Amino acid sequence: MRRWLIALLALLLTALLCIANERICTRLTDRLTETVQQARQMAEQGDPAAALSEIGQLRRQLDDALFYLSVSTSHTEVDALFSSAIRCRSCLDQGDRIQFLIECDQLLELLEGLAESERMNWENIL
Amino acid sequence: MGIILIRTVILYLCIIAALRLMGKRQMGELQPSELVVTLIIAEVAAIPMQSNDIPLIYGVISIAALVSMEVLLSSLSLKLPWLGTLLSGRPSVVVEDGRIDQREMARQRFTVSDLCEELRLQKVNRLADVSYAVLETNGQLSVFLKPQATPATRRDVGAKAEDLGVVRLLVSDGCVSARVCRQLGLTEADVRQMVEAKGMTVQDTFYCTVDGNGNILEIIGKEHPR
Repeated sequence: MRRWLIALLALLLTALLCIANERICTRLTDRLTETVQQARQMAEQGDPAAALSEIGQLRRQLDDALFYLSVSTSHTEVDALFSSAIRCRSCLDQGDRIQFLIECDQLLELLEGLAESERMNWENIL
Repeated sequence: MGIILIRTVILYLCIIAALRLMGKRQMGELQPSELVVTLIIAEVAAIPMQSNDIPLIYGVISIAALVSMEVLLSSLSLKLPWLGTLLSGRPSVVVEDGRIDQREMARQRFTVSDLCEELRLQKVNRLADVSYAVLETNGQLSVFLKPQATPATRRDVGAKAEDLGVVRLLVSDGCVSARVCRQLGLTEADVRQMVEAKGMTVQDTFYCTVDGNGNILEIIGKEHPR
Protein backbone atom coordinates (compact mmCIF):
# COMPACT_ATOMS: atom_id res chain seq x y z
CA MET A 1 0.00 0.00 0.00
CA ARG A 2 1.24 3.51 -0.69
CA ARG A 3 2.94 5.17 2.25
CA TRP A 4 0.87 8.35 2.09
CA LEU A 5 -2.34 6.31 2.13
CA ILE A 6 -1.26 4.53 5.32
CA ALA A 7 -0.36 7.92 6.82
CA LEU A 8 -3.73 9.37 5.79
CA LEU A 9 -5.57 6.38 7.25
CA ALA A 10 -3.55 6.62 10.48
CA LEU A 11 -4.36 10.32 10.76
CA LEU A 12 -8.07 9.76 10.11
CA LEU A 13 -8.14 6.89 12.58
CA THR A 14 -6.45 9.04 15.21
CA ALA A 15 -8.92 11.87 14.58
CA LEU A 16 -11.88 9.45 14.83
CA LEU A 17 -10.45 8.03 18.04
CA CYS A 18 -10.21 11.52 19.52
CA ILE A 19 -13.77 12.42 18.50
CA ALA A 20 -15.10 9.12 19.87
CA ASN A 21 -13.14 9.67 23.08
CA GLU A 22 -14.66 13.12 23.56
CA ARG A 23 -18.18 11.73 23.11
CA ILE A 24 -17.61 8.74 25.40
CA CYS A 25 -16.07 11.00 28.04
CA THR A 26 -18.95 13.49 27.87
CA ARG A 27 -21.53 10.71 28.09
CA LEU A 28 -19.74 9.06 30.99
CA THR A 29 -19.23 12.25 32.99
CA ASP A 30 -22.87 13.29 32.35
CA ARG A 31 -24.03 9.94 33.73
CA LEU A 32 -21.75 10.14 36.76
CA THR A 33 -22.69 13.78 37.40
CA GLU A 34 -26.40 12.89 37.29
CA THR A 35 -25.88 10.14 39.86
CA VAL A 36 -23.88 12.42 42.20
CA GLN A 37 -26.50 15.18 41.86
CA GLN A 38 -29.27 12.74 42.71
CA ALA A 39 -27.33 11.51 45.76
CA ARG A 40 -26.80 15.13 46.80
CA GLN A 41 -30.52 15.90 46.32
CA MET A 42 -31.52 12.86 48.40
CA ALA A 43 -29.21 13.93 51.20
CA GLU A 44 -30.62 17.46 51.11
CA GLN A 45 -34.14 16.06 51.33
CA GLY A 46 -33.10 14.06 54.41
CA ASP A 47 -33.04 10.61 52.82
CA PRO A 48 -29.57 9.18 53.57
CA ALA A 49 -30.57 5.62 52.57
CA ALA A 50 -31.50 6.74 49.06
CA ALA A 51 -28.30 8.83 48.91
CA LEU A 52 -26.28 5.78 49.96
CA SER A 53 -27.95 3.74 47.23
CA GLU A 54 -27.04 6.42 44.66
CA ILE A 55 -23.41 6.48 45.86
CA GLY A 56 -23.34 2.65 45.53
CA GLN A 57 -24.63 3.09 42.00
CA LEU A 58 -21.88 5.68 41.38
CA ARG A 59 -19.21 3.26 42.57
CA ARG A 60 -20.52 0.57 40.19
CA GLN A 61 -20.50 3.07 37.31
CA LEU A 62 -16.92 4.03 38.13
CA ASP A 63 -15.85 0.38 38.32
CA ASP A 64 -17.43 -0.28 34.90
CA ALA A 65 -15.63 2.73 33.41
CA LEU A 66 -12.28 1.96 35.05
CA PHE A 67 -10.65 0.50 31.91
CA TYR A 68 -11.75 3.40 29.73
CA LEU A 69 -10.68 5.96 32.34
CA SER A 70 -7.26 4.32 32.80
CA VAL A 71 -6.65 4.29 29.05
CA SER A 72 -7.80 7.82 28.36
CA THR A 73 -7.23 9.85 31.52
CA SER A 74 -4.30 10.69 33.75
CA HIS A 75 -4.15 8.01 36.44
CA THR A 76 -3.92 10.69 39.14
CA GLU A 77 -7.33 12.03 38.06
CA VAL A 78 -8.81 8.51 38.11
CA ASP A 79 -7.46 7.96 41.63
CA ALA A 80 -8.90 11.30 42.73
CA LEU A 81 -12.35 10.32 41.41
CA PHE A 82 -12.33 6.98 43.23
CA SER A 83 -11.03 8.56 46.47
CA SER A 84 -13.73 11.20 46.33
CA ALA A 85 -16.44 8.55 45.83
CA ILE A 86 -15.09 6.62 48.82
CA ARG A 87 -15.09 9.76 50.99
CA CYS A 88 -18.73 10.44 50.01
CA ARG A 89 -19.70 6.98 51.14
CA SER A 90 -17.79 7.33 54.43
CA CYS A 91 -19.59 10.61 55.20
CA LEU A 92 -22.95 8.93 54.64
CA ASP A 93 -21.93 5.95 56.80
CA GLN A 94 -21.00 8.35 59.61
CA GLY A 95 -24.19 10.39 59.12
CA ASP A 96 -22.22 13.59 58.39
CA ARG A 97 -24.63 15.27 55.97
CA ILE A 98 -22.77 18.61 55.70
CA GLN A 99 -19.44 16.94 54.92
CA PHE A 100 -21.24 14.67 52.42
CA LEU A 101 -22.57 17.70 50.55
CA ILE A 102 -19.07 19.22 50.49
CA GLU A 103 -17.59 15.96 49.17
CA CYS A 104 -20.36 15.76 46.53
CA ASP A 105 -19.49 19.27 45.37
CA GLN A 106 -15.83 18.31 45.10
CA LEU A 107 -16.72 15.18 43.15
CA LEU A 108 -18.92 17.22 40.80
CA GLU A 109 -16.03 19.62 40.30
CA LEU A 110 -13.69 16.72 39.45
CA LEU A 111 -16.21 15.34 36.95
CA GLU A 112 -16.69 18.75 35.37
CA GLY A 113 -12.91 19.13 35.11
CA LEU A 114 -12.60 15.71 33.46
CA ALA A 115 -15.30 16.48 30.88
CA GLU A 116 -13.86 19.93 30.26
CA SER A 117 -10.32 18.60 29.71
CA GLU A 118 -11.49 16.37 26.84
CA ARG A 119 -13.68 19.00 25.17
CA MET A 120 -12.29 20.14 21.81
CA ASN A 121 -12.53 23.90 22.13
CA TRP A 122 -10.14 26.81 21.64
CA GLU A 123 -9.72 27.34 25.37
CA ASN A 124 -8.27 23.83 25.71
CA ILE A 125 -6.29 23.98 22.46
CA LEU A 126 -4.65 27.26 23.34
CA MET B 1 8.56 -2.00 37.02
CA GLY B 2 6.96 -4.67 34.85
CA ILE B 3 4.47 -2.06 33.67
CA ILE B 4 7.30 0.23 32.56
CA LEU B 5 8.90 -2.67 30.67
CA ILE B 6 5.67 -3.48 28.81
CA ARG B 7 4.97 0.19 28.08
CA THR B 8 8.51 0.63 26.78
CA VAL B 9 8.19 -2.41 24.50
CA ILE B 10 4.86 -1.12 23.13
CA LEU B 11 6.30 2.37 22.52
CA TYR B 12 9.44 0.85 20.96
CA LEU B 13 7.26 -1.07 18.49
CA CYS B 14 5.29 2.11 17.75
CA ILE B 15 8.50 4.08 17.08
CA ILE B 16 9.91 1.36 14.82
CA ALA B 17 6.62 1.29 12.87
CA ALA B 18 6.73 5.10 12.69
CA LEU B 19 10.32 5.21 11.41
CA ARG B 20 9.55 2.47 8.85
CA LEU B 21 6.57 4.50 7.67
CA MET B 22 8.78 7.59 7.32
CA GLY B 23 11.10 5.65 5.04
CA LYS B 24 14.80 5.05 4.50
CA ARG B 25 15.77 8.70 4.07
CA GLN B 26 14.88 9.24 7.71
CA MET B 27 17.76 7.06 8.88
CA GLY B 28 20.40 8.96 6.94
CA GLU B 29 20.09 12.51 5.77
CA LEU B 30 17.49 14.49 7.64
CA GLN B 31 15.57 17.40 6.20
CA PRO B 32 14.68 20.12 8.74
CA SER B 33 11.08 18.90 9.16
CA GLU B 34 12.24 15.29 9.53
CA LEU B 35 14.80 16.28 12.15
CA VAL B 36 12.11 18.08 14.12
CA VAL B 37 9.74 15.09 13.92
CA THR B 38 12.47 12.65 14.98
CA LEU B 39 13.44 14.78 17.97
CA ILE B 40 9.82 15.28 19.05
CA ILE B 41 9.04 11.56 18.71
CA ALA B 42 11.94 10.75 21.02
CA GLU B 43 10.65 13.26 23.56
CA VAL B 44 6.98 12.27 23.25
CA ALA B 45 7.78 8.58 23.65
CA ALA B 46 9.98 9.16 26.70
CA ILE B 47 7.23 10.79 28.80
CA PRO B 48 4.71 7.90 29.01
CA MET B 49 7.66 5.47 29.13
CA GLN B 50 8.92 7.01 32.38
CA SER B 51 5.64 7.91 34.02
CA ASN B 52 2.98 5.30 34.76
CA ASP B 53 0.57 8.13 35.53
CA ILE B 54 0.27 9.14 31.88
CA PRO B 55 -1.87 6.87 29.66
CA LEU B 56 0.14 5.13 26.95
CA ILE B 57 -2.35 6.29 24.32
CA TYR B 58 -1.16 9.90 24.79
CA GLY B 59 2.25 8.91 23.41
CA VAL B 60 0.83 6.65 20.68
CA ILE B 61 -1.58 9.33 19.40
CA SER B 62 1.16 11.97 19.33
CA ILE B 63 3.55 9.67 17.43
CA ALA B 64 0.84 8.63 14.95
CA ALA B 65 -0.14 12.25 14.31
CA LEU B 66 3.47 13.44 13.92
CA VAL B 67 4.46 10.66 11.53
CA SER B 68 1.25 10.89 9.51
CA MET B 69 1.68 14.63 9.07
CA GLU B 70 5.33 14.21 8.10
CA VAL B 71 4.56 11.49 5.53
CA LEU B 72 1.55 13.38 4.13
CA LEU B 73 3.44 16.67 3.83
CA SER B 74 6.50 15.04 2.24
CA SER B 75 4.21 13.16 -0.20
CA LEU B 76 2.39 16.40 -0.99
CA SER B 77 5.66 18.24 -1.54
CA LEU B 78 6.42 15.80 -4.38
CA LYS B 79 3.38 17.19 -6.18
CA LEU B 80 3.68 20.77 -4.93
CA PRO B 81 7.30 21.96 -5.26
CA TRP B 82 6.57 25.21 -3.38
CA LEU B 83 5.56 23.15 -0.35
CA GLY B 84 8.85 21.25 -0.50
CA THR B 85 10.72 24.57 -0.62
CA LEU B 86 8.65 25.87 2.27
CA LEU B 87 9.37 22.77 4.39
CA SER B 88 12.99 22.11 3.48
CA GLY B 89 14.31 25.35 1.95
CA ARG B 90 16.48 25.61 -1.16
CA PRO B 91 20.06 24.44 -1.77
CA SER B 92 22.56 27.32 -1.81
CA VAL B 93 25.68 27.66 -3.91
CA VAL B 94 28.42 28.83 -1.55
CA VAL B 95 31.45 28.35 -3.81
CA GLU B 96 31.41 29.02 -7.53
CA ASP B 97 34.45 28.64 -9.77
CA GLY B 98 36.76 28.58 -6.75
CA ARG B 99 35.30 31.80 -5.29
CA ILE B 100 33.41 31.91 -2.01
CA ASP B 101 30.03 33.62 -2.12
CA GLN B 102 30.44 35.45 1.17
CA ARG B 103 26.96 36.96 1.16
CA GLU B 104 25.34 33.52 0.73
CA MET B 105 27.62 32.08 3.42
CA ALA B 106 26.51 34.82 5.82
CA ARG B 107 22.86 34.29 4.86
CA GLN B 108 23.17 30.56 5.66
CA ARG B 109 25.29 31.29 8.80
CA PHE B 110 27.88 28.92 7.32
CA THR B 111 31.33 29.89 8.59
CA VAL B 112 34.65 29.63 6.78
CA SER B 113 35.77 26.98 9.28
CA ASP B 114 32.59 24.98 8.47
CA LEU B 115 33.47 25.24 4.80
CA CYS B 116 37.09 24.20 5.40
CA GLU B 117 35.92 21.25 7.51
CA GLU B 118 33.54 20.05 4.78
CA LEU B 119 36.23 20.45 2.12
CA ARG B 120 38.71 18.48 4.25
CA LEU B 121 36.11 15.73 4.74
CA GLN B 122 35.83 15.50 0.97
CA LYS B 123 39.64 15.46 0.61
CA VAL B 124 39.78 18.81 -1.18
CA ASN B 125 42.90 20.89 -0.42
CA ARG B 126 42.58 23.87 -2.68
CA LEU B 127 39.52 26.04 -2.98
CA ALA B 128 40.67 26.90 -6.50
CA ASP B 129 40.01 23.24 -7.48
CA VAL B 130 36.31 23.57 -6.63
CA SER B 131 34.02 24.11 -9.59
CA TYR B 132 31.09 24.73 -7.29
CA ALA B 133 29.92 23.71 -3.82
CA VAL B 134 26.28 23.48 -2.85
CA LEU B 135 24.99 23.62 0.70
CA GLU B 136 22.13 21.11 0.54
CA THR B 137 18.86 21.44 2.45
CA ASN B 138 19.94 18.69 4.84
CA GLY B 139 23.05 20.70 5.79
CA GLN B 140 25.55 18.65 3.78
CA LEU B 141 27.95 20.28 1.38
CA SER B 142 28.16 18.79 -2.13
CA VAL B 143 31.49 19.64 -3.72
CA PHE B 144 32.11 19.38 -7.47
CA LEU B 145 35.71 19.66 -8.61
CA LYS B 146 36.96 21.28 -11.78
CA PRO B 147 37.70 18.72 -14.53
CA GLN B 148 41.47 19.23 -14.17
CA ALA B 149 41.26 18.37 -10.44
CA THR B 150 39.18 15.20 -10.74
CA PRO B 151 40.87 11.77 -10.92
CA ALA B 152 40.92 10.10 -14.32
CA THR B 153 38.22 7.50 -14.91
CA ARG B 154 38.42 4.27 -16.98
CA ARG B 155 36.56 6.14 -19.71
CA ASP B 156 39.24 8.88 -19.70
CA VAL B 157 42.05 6.35 -20.16
CA GLY B 158 40.03 4.14 -22.54
CA ALA B 159 40.26 1.03 -20.31
CA LYS B 160 37.56 -1.65 -20.58
CA ALA B 161 35.53 -2.44 -17.52
CA GLU B 162 33.37 -5.47 -16.89
CA ASP B 163 29.88 -4.59 -15.67
CA LEU B 164 28.91 -7.10 -13.00
CA GLY B 165 25.34 -5.85 -12.71
CA VAL B 166 23.68 -6.03 -9.32
CA VAL B 167 25.74 -8.21 -6.96
CA ARG B 168 23.47 -10.17 -4.63
CA LEU B 169 24.04 -12.29 -1.54
CA LEU B 170 22.84 -15.78 -2.56
CA VAL B 171 23.94 -17.88 0.43
CA SER B 172 24.39 -16.51 3.91
CA ASP B 173 25.62 -18.77 6.71
CA GLY B 174 24.31 -21.93 5.00
CA CYS B 175 20.91 -20.42 4.08
CA VAL B 176 19.91 -19.86 0.45
CA SER B 177 18.10 -16.56 -0.11
CA ALA B 178 14.69 -17.41 -1.58
CA ARG B 179 14.26 -13.78 -2.64
CA VAL B 180 17.51 -13.74 -4.67
CA CYS B 181 16.62 -17.15 -6.23
CA ARG B 182 13.26 -15.69 -7.30
CA GLN B 183 14.93 -12.58 -8.74
CA LEU B 184 17.40 -14.66 -10.78
CA GLY B 185 14.95 -17.43 -11.72
CA LEU B 186 16.95 -20.10 -9.89
CA THR B 187 15.74 -23.06 -7.84
CA GLU B 188 17.42 -24.28 -4.65
CA ALA B 189 18.63 -27.33 -6.60
CA ASP B 190 20.33 -24.99 -9.11
CA VAL B 191 22.07 -23.16 -6.25
CA ARG B 192 23.20 -26.45 -4.69
CA GLN B 193 24.62 -27.51 -8.06
CA MET B 194 26.41 -24.14 -8.55
CA VAL B 195 27.96 -24.30 -5.08
CA GLU B 196 28.98 -27.95 -5.49
CA ALA B 197 30.68 -27.02 -8.78
CA LYS B 198 32.93 -24.78 -6.64
CA GLY B 199 33.78 -27.78 -4.43
CA MET B 200 31.56 -26.82 -1.49
CA THR B 201 28.12 -27.57 -0.07
CA VAL B 202 25.39 -25.04 0.71
CA GLN B 203 25.39 -26.04 4.42
CA ASP B 204 29.12 -25.28 4.71
CA THR B 205 28.97 -21.99 2.77
CA PHE B 206 29.30 -18.87 4.91
CA TYR B 207 29.12 -16.22 2.21
CA CYS B 208 28.32 -16.50 -1.50
CA THR B 209 27.54 -13.68 -3.89
CA VAL B 210 26.34 -13.79 -7.50
CA ASP B 211 26.60 -11.19 -10.25
CA GLY B 212 23.76 -9.86 -12.36
CA ASN B 213 23.97 -12.87 -14.70
CA GLY B 214 23.59 -15.36 -11.85
CA ASN B 215 27.25 -16.48 -11.83
CA ILE B 216 28.99 -17.06 -8.53
CA LEU B 217 31.29 -14.12 -7.86
CA GLU B 218 32.74 -14.97 -4.47
CA ILE B 219 32.28 -17.94 -2.16
CA ILE B 220 33.66 -18.39 1.36
CA GLY B 221 33.23 -21.52 3.46
CA LYS B 222 32.50 -21.69 7.18
CA GLU B 223 35.55 -21.81 9.43
CA HIS B 224 33.99 -24.62 11.46
CA PRO B 225 31.86 -26.66 9.01
CA ARG B 226 29.25 -28.98 10.48
